[in-house]
Amino acid sequence: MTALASVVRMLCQFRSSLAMRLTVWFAVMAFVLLFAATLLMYWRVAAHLTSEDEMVVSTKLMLVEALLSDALPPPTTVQMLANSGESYLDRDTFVRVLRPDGSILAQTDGMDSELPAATIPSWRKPTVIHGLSGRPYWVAASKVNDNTVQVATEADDEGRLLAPYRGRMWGLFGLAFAVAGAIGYRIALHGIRPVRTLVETMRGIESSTLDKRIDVSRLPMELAALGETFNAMLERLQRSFDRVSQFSDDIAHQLRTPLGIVRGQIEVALRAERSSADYRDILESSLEEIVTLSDLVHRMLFLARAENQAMALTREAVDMGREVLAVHDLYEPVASEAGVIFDVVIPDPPPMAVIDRLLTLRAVGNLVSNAIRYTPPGGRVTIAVGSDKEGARITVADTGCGIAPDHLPHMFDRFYRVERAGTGGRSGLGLAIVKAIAELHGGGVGITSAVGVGTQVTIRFPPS
Amino acid sequence: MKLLIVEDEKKSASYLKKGLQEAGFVVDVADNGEDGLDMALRGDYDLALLDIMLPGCDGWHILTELRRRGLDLPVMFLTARDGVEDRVKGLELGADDYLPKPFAFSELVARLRTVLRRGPVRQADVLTIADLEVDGQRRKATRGGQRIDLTQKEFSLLLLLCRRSGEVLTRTYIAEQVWDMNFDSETNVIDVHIRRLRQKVDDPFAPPLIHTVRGVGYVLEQRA
Repeated sequence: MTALASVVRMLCQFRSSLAMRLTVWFAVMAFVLLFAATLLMYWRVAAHLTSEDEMVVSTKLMLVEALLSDALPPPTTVQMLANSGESYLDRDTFVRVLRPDGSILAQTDGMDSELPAATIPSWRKPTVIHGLSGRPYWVAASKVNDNTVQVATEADDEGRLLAPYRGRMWGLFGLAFAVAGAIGYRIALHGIRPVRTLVETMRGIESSTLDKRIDVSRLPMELAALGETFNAMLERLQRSFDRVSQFSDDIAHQLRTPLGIVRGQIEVALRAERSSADYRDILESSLEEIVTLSDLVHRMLFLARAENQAMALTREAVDMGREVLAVHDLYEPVASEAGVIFDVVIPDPPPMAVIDRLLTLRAVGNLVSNAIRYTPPGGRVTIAVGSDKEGARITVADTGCGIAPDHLPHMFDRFYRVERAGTGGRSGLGLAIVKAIAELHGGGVGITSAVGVGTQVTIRFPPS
Repeated sequence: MKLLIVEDEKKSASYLKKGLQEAGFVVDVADNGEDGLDMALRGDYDLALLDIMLPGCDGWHILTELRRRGLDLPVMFLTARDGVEDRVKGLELGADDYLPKPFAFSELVARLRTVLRRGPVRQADVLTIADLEVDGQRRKATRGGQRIDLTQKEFSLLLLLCRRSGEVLTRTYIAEQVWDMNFDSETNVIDVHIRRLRQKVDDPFAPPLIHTVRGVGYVLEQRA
């Protein structure tokens, strides 16, 4: 079977097609089955013929014994049998009677020259021996009235009977192999048709038709899983594709607004003579817009590099409690102007972490300024630090307006804002930067929120 | 102070030259790498501002050549290439600072002064601007003889503004110097601190000393 498998493998390599493989296997299996069945039949027939031959020689021996027992003289008996015409399928039959001293009493003509008396064994059980001419004979012997009787009939010369049958058999095998191959190929083609349909559907999907899906219900079970996987992949692709195009849209918009202002106000300024105070005002206003632009560019570059992991961290062991207090120092006045209570929760002893201090503070600062912005006067913003075996974490919680559940999964996307317009020139990159910083550290971010109750954002760092 | 600018982009070179001259520096400009290297080797400069991508030979090459010939002329890179590797490479080659474009001109001036000042900063124990007196040693501030009550951070902020009196400081620079923090400029947090400081330093007195420079930052100076 292994030899067969290697032949099949060779054929498969010939052309690495699924249909071809199936066809080859199918044909081979058909051939093997047919071959086995035929071989079995052949053996049965051959065995049957053998037993017939045995019977003929045994019968003949019994006949001679009977005749001799009836006191028929041996030469007459031999003569009778030789001339009886009772030869099985035209086979020569020989009979010989020996005296007790071994001399010949009587025998069929020509027997001596083919089967001398000494070559024939002395037992009853029919045996095949070869005559002097090389032809095979069934022989048997017995004793009657002290005389020895020897009987021989020509055996079927291996296939004189079966030879034409064998020849036809090989032809049949060839034919069966070809037919099995052809049928197998049709079946295989039919079987893999869903694969072709699948391929054609996939081929038809381009960036403009990402919303196309494969009809899984029409696929056979084995391919349905593939189809579903492919559909899921398309789903993800479409989503990120949409996000990228939304992203380009957003960038264009973000750049267009300040560019439009600068271009417009300078153009207008140059249309007439103005006082130097006017020029100054226009220049200052332009500068403000341009600063917005370059900040945006810096932030985008930061994100792009962080997302390609192309940014080296300056890690150091940091007392998280102290750093969080520094953030508190920086933002406390902003909170108090907004009428928001701002406090810090630090366990004792304060957790340590090996992190990039500046980047981490930048992330926390972003979260705090967001939290203060969306918390009404009288509310509370809290920074809490903690650590367990999963690493250190910083949580910024507020009692602000909260975020609706359908916005939550997108809060860390670039340019994603809950209200798409009128957020006071904020770029919508703040949380994306927080996430990028966390991921640069090998950590992550999490957000939970309830509308009207508040929001919690957590930055997690892996254990160092 | 004599500066060499090696910059092939004409508009950049021109505004840098103008701005730095007005800030009191003597400025020469080379518009390609080879001239830049020649001038740096021959001229007696206090600092070179190098672009990285230059016709002739690039900024890396100029710096390497200078250092190879044993010249430790301070070098600052000004470049649109601000990959971390570039920054690290620049500093490893022996550059003194690295400023990615686009940058605030005030930021450039502040950093230039930092590099040029190398070594102990000359600072008086007591800084006096108009009727404001700030004692860095005893962390005490008075105006018109009246004690101003300041928190630690407020005092640090005032001290920074006084030490750099007359220089416009960007919000980023202030955050770096006072809070040792690199913050996102989307926040108005520095403005809030300045507002608080003004309430104590400027509001009860005249004339105001802390001025806003639109689009840039803040400066503390006596204006006529």
